[in-house]
Amino acid sequence: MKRIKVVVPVSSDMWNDSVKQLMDDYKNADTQIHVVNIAKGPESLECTYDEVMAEMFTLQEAEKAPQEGFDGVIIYCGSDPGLRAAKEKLDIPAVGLGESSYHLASMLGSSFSVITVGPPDLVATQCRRVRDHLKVYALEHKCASVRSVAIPVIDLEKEKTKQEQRVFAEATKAIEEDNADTIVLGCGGMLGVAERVSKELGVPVIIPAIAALKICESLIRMGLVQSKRCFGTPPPDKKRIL
Amino acid sequence: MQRIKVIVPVCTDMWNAPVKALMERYKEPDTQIDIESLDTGPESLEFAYDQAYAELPTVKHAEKAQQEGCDGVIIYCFADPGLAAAREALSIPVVGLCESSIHLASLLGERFTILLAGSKHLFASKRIVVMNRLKAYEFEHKCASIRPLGVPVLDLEAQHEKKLAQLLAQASTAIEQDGADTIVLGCGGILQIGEEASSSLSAPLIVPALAALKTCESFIRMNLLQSKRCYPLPEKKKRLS
Repeated sequence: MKRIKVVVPVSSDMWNDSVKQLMDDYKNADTQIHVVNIAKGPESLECTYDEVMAEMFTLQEAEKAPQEGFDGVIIYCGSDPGLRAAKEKLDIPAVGLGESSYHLASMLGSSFSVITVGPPDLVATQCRRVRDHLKVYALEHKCASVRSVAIPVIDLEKEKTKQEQRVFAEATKAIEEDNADTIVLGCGGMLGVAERVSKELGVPVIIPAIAALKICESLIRMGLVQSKRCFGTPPPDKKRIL
Repeated sequence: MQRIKVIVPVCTDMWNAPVKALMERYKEPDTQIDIESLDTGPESLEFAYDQAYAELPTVKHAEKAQQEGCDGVIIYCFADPGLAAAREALSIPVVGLCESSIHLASLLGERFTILLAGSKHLFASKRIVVMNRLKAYEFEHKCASIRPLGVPVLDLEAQHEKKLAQLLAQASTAIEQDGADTIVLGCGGILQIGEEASSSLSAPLIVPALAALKTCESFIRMNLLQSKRCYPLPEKKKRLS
């Protein structure tokens, strides 16, 4: 049995059940999924400000995972808040939705587009954030474009129909205008929209939850952990006041 | 039950049993591994010339795998011969050793070194074969170095202790001198010593057989296929061979 802790980096438990259900549908037989949200921090992540607010609390949940008996951690947000800090601190695999999705997408095609979400007046900010993350992963050159459905994260579930229509519309434009051959959903809250879009547009659509799950399961199975040369353990005896 | 066909793109079956044995230990319980080598083609792959010999029969084997009802194909060579062509022809996922290994390495660190098996005098040509793969995948910027193990592929499992020591020495040099934080074994023939070396290294060691297996299993499980916008089905026309 391998146990994976999924940290949803928002101060709301509204996603916990649906994320657990989705992952349970795709996990390997001997994987056990445990989903938690963070106690403090923003209710959704739609700008770098929110990311910074979420990082500390996400890290605190991630840090507890080894003593809680987990074999791996998934940080459940497309912007991978606190991922690199968690990789430093942990000796079990720490996996992010964004990073794993971009890599899987790059193996299925030559150029992916990211369809993200967020308030209509922050569309450019969402796109900038995705490009920021791609720069960190040195994968910008694989990205054809970043587009947004312009729906706030908190409204995604109640605007399901509009969300699906807009994902479809933006993905169509990504393929036809931006020459994308693969679509990455940029937010973990975009649930239940991938299948129809993939079927009708004839391109792979990466569901970030499943990408991260499969990467995390694979790393655990292979006995692999993030490189400690690259993500060195933080000095333990240093004062860090919270 | 998911069936994965592993095609070893050389005209010898010497790798089939050990590769299958390794994958059997890491596969999911509902995965079935079928492995086959080629009847034609080169006995090993160290030159672009060898690659040309390997590609056509590899693609044909991949097509046959789909007809047999397999759910995924792994092309078992670090040069990924015929990978793009097989992806065009097939509507099941096709995975290569090099591509899946470098992506996995990049999820674990920032810069990887690839260790190549083969005699020293073959290193230059083999290095170019692998460099061309990295260029095709646009991953050169993530590669710290490509280093020779200096051990002929066919001798890899003989003189076990000595080979293991050589592997560890090259990996350490890659880490200390080239700034690598992750090591990728650049040959599907580095089996037992690869597994053993990982426990003695200060960096993650990617065994390409396992990277490809886990990637292939993941794609099947996720119901993901290579993009047909990127790898469209070749049009029907006369192709004599």
